[in-house]
Amino acid sequence: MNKTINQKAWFFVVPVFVLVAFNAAIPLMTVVNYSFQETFGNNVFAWEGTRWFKQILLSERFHDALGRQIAFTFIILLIQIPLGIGIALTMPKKGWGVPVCLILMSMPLLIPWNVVGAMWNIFALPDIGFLGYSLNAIGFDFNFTQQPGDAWFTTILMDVWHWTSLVVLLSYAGLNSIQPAYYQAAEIDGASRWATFRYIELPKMKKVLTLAILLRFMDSFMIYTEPFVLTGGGPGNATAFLSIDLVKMALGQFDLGPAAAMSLIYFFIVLLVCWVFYSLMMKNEVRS
Amino acid sequence: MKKYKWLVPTLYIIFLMLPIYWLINMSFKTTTEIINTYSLWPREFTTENYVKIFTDSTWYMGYVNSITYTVFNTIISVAAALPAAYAFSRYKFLGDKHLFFWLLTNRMAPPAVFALPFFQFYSSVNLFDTHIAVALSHCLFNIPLAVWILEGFMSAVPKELDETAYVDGYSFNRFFFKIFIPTIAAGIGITMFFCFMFSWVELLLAKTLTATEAKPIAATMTRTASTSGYELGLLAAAGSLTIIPGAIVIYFVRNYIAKGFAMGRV
Amino acid sequence: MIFTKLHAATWGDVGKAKEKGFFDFDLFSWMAWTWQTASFFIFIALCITVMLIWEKYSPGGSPRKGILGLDTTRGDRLFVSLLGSAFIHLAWLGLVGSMLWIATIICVAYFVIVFKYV
Repeated sequence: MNKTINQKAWFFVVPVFVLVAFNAAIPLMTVVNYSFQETFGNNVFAWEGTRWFKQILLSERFHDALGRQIAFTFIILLIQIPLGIGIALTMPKKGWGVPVCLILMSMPLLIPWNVVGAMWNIFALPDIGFLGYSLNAIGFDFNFTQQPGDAWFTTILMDVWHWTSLVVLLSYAGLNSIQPAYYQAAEIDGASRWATFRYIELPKMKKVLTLAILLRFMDSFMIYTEPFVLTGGGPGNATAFLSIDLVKMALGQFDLGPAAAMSLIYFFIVLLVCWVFYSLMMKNEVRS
Repeated sequence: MKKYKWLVPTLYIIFLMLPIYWLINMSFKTTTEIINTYSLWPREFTTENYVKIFTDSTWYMGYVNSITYTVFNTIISVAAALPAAYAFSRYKFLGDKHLFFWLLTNRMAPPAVFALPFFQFYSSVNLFDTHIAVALSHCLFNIPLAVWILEGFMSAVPKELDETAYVDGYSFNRFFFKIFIPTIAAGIGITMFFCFMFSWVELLLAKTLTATEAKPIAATMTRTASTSGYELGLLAAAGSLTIIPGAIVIYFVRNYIAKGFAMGRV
Repeated sequence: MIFTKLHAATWGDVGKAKEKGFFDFDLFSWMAWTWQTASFFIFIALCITVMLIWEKYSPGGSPRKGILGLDTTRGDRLFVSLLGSAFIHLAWLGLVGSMLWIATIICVAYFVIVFKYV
């Protein structure tokens, strides 16, 4: 759509601008201020320069947390995106199945995140949980509170349970927007199922899929509540992702300076990745 | 192959329902049964856990608080986002793309980064432990989302609609409220759904910004778990009840989800 | 939970500041401003102001397709420069550690390159 240039449109944006600015700018400025200072409580601060940044950048704890975070996000995307597309492709297109599928699939999205954690905790406990008990019954030595591998397995399974539906819903919407004529044309040409997917469905879903990847990246990169309730970052530090480590540092140990420095580094990484995604999305938009 | 297509969504839905069933199953068990035996359904069926929640005000007020700030937030977010999304979808103005991206960065910012300054900010303006504080803080990620979704819906409405209305002598306000908003009603519905959803499920900020008066149910749950031992049955009952508002909201927007998503960002 | 304990122990003083007037200076003392960080934000504000003035004199933001293959305007270039500078500084801190002003000089060069080619 060709838009008219109108600087007065800024007036429409003012409410949003003010609300978000208050919520984002003031806290962000505060974090910047803290990251250069040492706190002594009672609003007493002392200038520390770049010490905290250096400390965080060189600390093994940060490297480990970042490594775990990247691994987690990568695995999540690798599982959820193909799975989501697959389910969306097999979902019914009309009839009573549509609302049933949509309602049931949206369920996990609307459960408070700590309830998700608690739910998976009791679901996976080896003695009383269905998952833990069944796995042990068929011969696996499964205990997510003791073994790091099992903790990872449970956390990933939980996230797949929790968020795959979002990818499904978005892909389904993308698929629904395809005109039946495209499919008829494909049928006349005798296109295989794969060719139909590759040349008709996938291009049409490109935009929603970028959105899905972007949303899933952002949310899994800042995941906090669910693993915190499920494993508490444990056993040891096995599932201590960036946010968990950050909150531990800021509110558990009250190391405001290092925590603020870590927040900023964290934020820069997220900002960079999202800018790349956003640019790619805009590039698509301009072309289409 | 086509014959077994229904298997995939069915298996997926079963996978989704299992933990939920387990939670509900637990909520009807007594604490001793939970700890001592493994059973697929409650042997001694009890509603004690639910009775406790509905009679104890520290429990049921948690629900009232959560719903209050969630509704506030949904209203604020959508009301603020409507004109902004209209501006983004219809006009070009200085810095529009950067503003849009800046809004989006706030959706991306990890709440853990903001928890501490939020606490101090809302304390200093006397809003700590109020519903409005939580509602406002959730605007951080809900307004960008609302603007984004609404902008998608509005861009799908041809501009000729606006122009015809002006030719017919409608004022901007009359056009916006009488014609434009009904046209994108589905979009508003889906936006409200998302705002409700993200405000309802968020815990970190809600917990940081409240103490007693506006404490969300999710926080009540974690606190009870840590003070009075692990009362799994009670926890499970409270958890099961948090699913209900979500289920109701989905029921209302069920027709919009499919249609709405399709119209939205495609 | 962690938050309750802290509220009682360390954050008690934070909550008390609110007893005074709404536009009291105490309102901002928790933000812990220093002249260094303040001048940093003033610098950012200045950058945006310069962009606005520049836009006034030559509107349109001189869009082009840079070496990254992206369509960029002046504002995009400013953003890329600032974000890149943050990473250059961080990298310098992590890899070298001292004499941060060298990183700042690199950033100035980076700014020029971005505004010319990206």
